Amino acid sequence: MEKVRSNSNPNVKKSNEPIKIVKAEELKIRQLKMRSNYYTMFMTLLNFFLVFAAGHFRDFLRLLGYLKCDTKFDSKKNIAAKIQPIVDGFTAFYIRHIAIYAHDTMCRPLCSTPSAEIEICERKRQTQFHSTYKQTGRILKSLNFASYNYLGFAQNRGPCAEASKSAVEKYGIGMGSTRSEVGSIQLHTDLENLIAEFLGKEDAITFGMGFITNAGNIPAILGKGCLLMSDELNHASIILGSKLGGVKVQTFNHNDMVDFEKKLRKAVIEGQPKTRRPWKKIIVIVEGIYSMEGTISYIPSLIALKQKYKFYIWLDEAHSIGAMGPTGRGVVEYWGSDANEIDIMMGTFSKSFGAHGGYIASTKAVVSHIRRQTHTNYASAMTPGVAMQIYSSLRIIMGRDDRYPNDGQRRIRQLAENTRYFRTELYKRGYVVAGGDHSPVVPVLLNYPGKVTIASRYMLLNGIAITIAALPAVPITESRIRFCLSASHTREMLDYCIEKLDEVNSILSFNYFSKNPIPPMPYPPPFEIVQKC
Amino acid sequence: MAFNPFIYVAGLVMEAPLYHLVLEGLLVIWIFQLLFSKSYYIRKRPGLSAKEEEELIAEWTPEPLVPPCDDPPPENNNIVDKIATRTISINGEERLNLATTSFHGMNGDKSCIETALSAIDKYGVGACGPRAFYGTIDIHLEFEKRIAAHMGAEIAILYSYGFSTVSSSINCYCKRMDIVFCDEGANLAIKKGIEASRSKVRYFKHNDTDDLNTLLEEHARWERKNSRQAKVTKKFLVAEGLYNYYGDICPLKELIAFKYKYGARLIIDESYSFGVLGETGRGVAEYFGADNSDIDVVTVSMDHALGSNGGFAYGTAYMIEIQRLGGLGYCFSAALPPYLTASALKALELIDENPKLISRLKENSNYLYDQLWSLDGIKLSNHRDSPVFHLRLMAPTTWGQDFALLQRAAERINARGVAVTMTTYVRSEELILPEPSLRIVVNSCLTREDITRVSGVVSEVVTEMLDAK
Repeated sequence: MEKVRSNSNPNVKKSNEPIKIVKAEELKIRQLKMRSNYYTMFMTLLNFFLVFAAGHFRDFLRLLGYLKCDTKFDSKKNIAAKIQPIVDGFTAFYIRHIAIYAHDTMCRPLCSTPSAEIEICERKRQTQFHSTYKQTGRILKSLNFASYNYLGFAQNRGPCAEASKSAVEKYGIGMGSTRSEVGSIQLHTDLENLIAEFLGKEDAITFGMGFITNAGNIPAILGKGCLLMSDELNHASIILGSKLGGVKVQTFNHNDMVDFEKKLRKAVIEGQPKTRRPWKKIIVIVEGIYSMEGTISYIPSLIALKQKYKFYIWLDEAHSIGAMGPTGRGVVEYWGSDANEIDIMMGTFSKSFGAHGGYIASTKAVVSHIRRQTHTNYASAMTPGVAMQIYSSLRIIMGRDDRYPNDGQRRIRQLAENTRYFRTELYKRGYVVAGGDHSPVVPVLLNYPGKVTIASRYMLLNGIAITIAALPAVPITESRIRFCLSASHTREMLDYCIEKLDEVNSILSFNYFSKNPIPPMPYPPPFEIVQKC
Repeated sequence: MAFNPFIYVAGLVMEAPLYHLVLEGLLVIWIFQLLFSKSYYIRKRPGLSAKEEEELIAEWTPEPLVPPCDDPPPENNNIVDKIATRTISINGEERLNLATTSFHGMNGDKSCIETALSAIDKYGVGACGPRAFYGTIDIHLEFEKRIAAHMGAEIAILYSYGFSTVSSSINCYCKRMDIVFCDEGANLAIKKGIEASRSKVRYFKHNDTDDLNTLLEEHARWERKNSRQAKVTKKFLVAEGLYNYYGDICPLKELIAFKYKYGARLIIDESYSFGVLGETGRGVAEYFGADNSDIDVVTVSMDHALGSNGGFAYGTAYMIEIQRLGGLGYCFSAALPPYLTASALKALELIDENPKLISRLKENSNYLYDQLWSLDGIKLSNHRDSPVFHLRLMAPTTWGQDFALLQRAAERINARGVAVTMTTYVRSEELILPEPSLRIVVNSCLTREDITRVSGVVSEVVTEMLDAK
C-alpha cells in the first residue's frame, strides 16, 4: 500500500531519473472469467422460457384483440402489392416481447457533455410494451459510469474544446470532399505524423469513423486465399470486414492461446480447405481490451507464436489506446512488448480522446497500400473540429502541450488508480467481476435479464447511469452490468456508486462470490510515474 | 413346482432343430466379436509425425503483407488552407470552388458555424458512446424528428458517417435468401452493402428500365415455378436519386411502378439529390411529383448539401425501427458528434427558409450545362439539372491513358484558377468500373460571371488537350 500512495503523489519524477517500468508479463496479471454455477444457468434459462411463453400468450391475446401495443405495420399499398414482411418470425418476436422490457434502459438521451456528471432527460412510455417515449421535461443529474471516457477528455471547456472551436472557425464544418481529392488540410497530415510517433510506427492514416476503419480496410489487406484467425468475441466491424474480403475465417476460443495455436497448426499444415494449397498469408485479429468482457489479449504470447508460425498481427486497440500502459500507448506498452512486432495497429478516437474516428498505424508500405485501396477513398475526410480535438488531446497525453505538461500523466495515473480502487472494492464484496485486473472496463455478472433491468432502473433513480448487456450482445445466461471507469471520476463518485450497487445487491442479490470472494490484487499498478517524452 | 429358468431353456434347446442352434450360436459369437474388437476409423489424411509437422510449419512462407508497389506513396499535395465555399484556397492559391460537393456552402455559413461553436460549448466534441449506451444526445433526437417532419416521413435515423449509412441500411434489410436488383452505376457503398449481405444480386444496365423489366420478369417466372422458396425470398430494388458516378437521375416513376407490380421494396440513396432536386430540395420524389411514401427507405449522406458529416435514413416506422437494432453502423459505432448534428440542423432550417438556394443551384447547373454540352471530343453523362458534371472522353482508348489525359486537363484547369478534380475510383474494388471522368461540381454560391469564367476555362483547356492529342 505504501508504494501505491507514493504513486499518487502529484510531484512527478524528473526525466533524468531512470524509468522503472514493471512489465505486466512479469507480474503475471490475472484475467478473471465469468463463472456461474449450473443452478443459476438453469434458472436463467427458465426465466427466458417463461418470458417466451408469456410472449406467445400475449400474441394470442393480440390476435383476439384484447391487447393494445404500438407495433408498427407496413403501409397499406405495400400489403396490397403482396410485399413480404421485412423481419422474420423470431427476430420480430424477440423485439416485440423480450427486448421490449429492457427498452427503457437503452438509448437514454442526454442533454449535456458525456463527462463524469451528466444530465439525462427523463422520459416515460405508456406501458412496458411500448417503444415510443414522451419526455417529461425533468432532468436527472447522474454520475456517468457508462460512456467511453477513459481519460476524461469529453469536456466542453478546456484547451481541446477551444482548439476545436478555432479549427471549426478556420476550416469550416465538413470538408465536402475525400482525402485524395480536395479534403486534406495540414492538420490531417500533422495528426497522422503525431499518431505514428506516439505509437512508434513509421506511418499512420486516419479515417472519419472507427467502424469503417475495420470494415473498409480488412478487404484492402486480405483477399482470396488468405486466412483470418479471429477471436470469437471480436467486434462486429471486424466480422463485416471479413465478409467483404472473400477471405476464410477461423475463430478461436476467447483469449485462449492454446486453442489458437492448435487451430493455427492445423491451418498451416492442412492448407486451404478444398485445394490443400498453402495459405497466401495468415492474419490474426485480436482486440486490446474486449468491450464486453474486459479481458486483455496476451500480446507477448502472440508475438512468441508469431516468430514460429509467421502470421501477421492486426491489433484493434479501440478501448485500450490511451487507457492502458504507463504513458497511454496501449496494450503493447502495457505488456512491455515491441511495437514493431505488431504489423498493423488500429484504434479509434471515440473512447480515450473524446472525439470520433479511427486510425491505422504500420509501416510506410502498408499505409501507402491502404491509402490506395481503402473503401474510404469514396467517403469524406475527417472534419476539422474532430481532428483538432484528437490532435490537442494527443499532445496533452504525450506531454507536449506547454500549458499542461503533466496533465496527460495525471489522467493516466488517475485512471489506473480508479481502476485499482474500484475493482478491489468490488472483489471484496463478492461480486462476480471479469476481465484483466488493470482494465478500466469492469463487467459485473448478474446472469438474469430481469435483474440487470431492475438494477439499471434503480441506479438511475439514485443518480447513477450504467450500461447493461443482455442477449444478443452476450451469451444467454450471462447478462451483465458494465462499468466504464474514467479519469474524471473522483473517489467520492466511486464510493457513491459502490454504495448504491450494494443497495441494489441487497434487493437482487447477485454477489455470487460472497462466500469465496476474488482475492485482492497482489500487485500495484504496473508502472512508476515518470515524466517521459 | 417353481419356475426353473435353466430347465426351461434346456427344454427349448432340446426341442429346436440343429440348423437353428448353429445359426444362433454363430450370431452370438459374431456379436461378441463386434463388441470386443478394436473400432476402426476412416483415415482422412495420412498421419504426419510430429517432426514432419514441424518441417511443414518451418517451410511455409507467407506472402508479404501488402504486394510490393513501384508507384511512389500516394501523397495528396492539395492542402486546403481555409473554408471552401465559393472559392477554395489550395496550397495558398485561391481558386473558384468547383471541386467540393458542398452544394450550398453550408460548411462555411456563418450561422451554421455559430451553431456548431455553441454546440461544442454545450456538449463538447465527441458523443463518447454508441446510441444505445448514453451516446444519444437530445440534439440527435431533435434532428431525427425535424428531418422526418421535413420530408413527411414517419421516422428518421441518424448515422455517424455518410458512407456507412447506405451500406448498413442495405445490409440490415437484405439477407442471404433475398434478391437485390441494383443499378450498375450505383456507388461503392451500395455495392459493398449488397456484397456484405450475401444476397443474390442482379445488376441492370444503368438507368435502363427495359433491362430491369427483363430481369424482374425472369425472376417472376422463377417465382411461379418455386412458390415455396419464393415466399421467403424478398425482393429489393436499389438505385440512387442522383448518381455519384454519372450525374444523371433515376427513373423514379418507373421504379415505383415496378415496385408495386413485382412486389419489391425500393431503397433509394439520395445523397446527391437531397437539397438539390425539386422545388424545395426534397429530392427525386418532389422532382418527379411522386409520393415520398412510395419509397420504402431513403438514405442521405449529410456530407454534401448539409455541409456536415454523417448520414440519415427516413421512411415508415415499420422499416426504420429495424435499423435501430440491425443497422451495424448505427448499433456498433459511436454516435455522431453533437456539433455536427447541430450544424446540419441549422443548415436544414436555412435551406427550408430559403428555396432561392435551390433555384440558384439549378440555374447555375443549367447555365453551365448549356455552355459545355456542345464541346467536341467530350461527353457529359449528367442530366441538365444536375450540379455534378462528369466529363468523359467521346472516343475512349484505355483506362490508364484516358485517366492520364483527363488528369493533365484537370491540372491545367486548376492552374487557371478553377478548382476541379478527377473522380476517385479504387479500380480493384469496383465491380463495374466506370470510365475515368473529370468532375465539376456547381454550387449555389457561384455567380453567373463565375460560371461563364469556368465554362471558358474548361472549353479552352479541353480544346487544347484534344487538339494536342
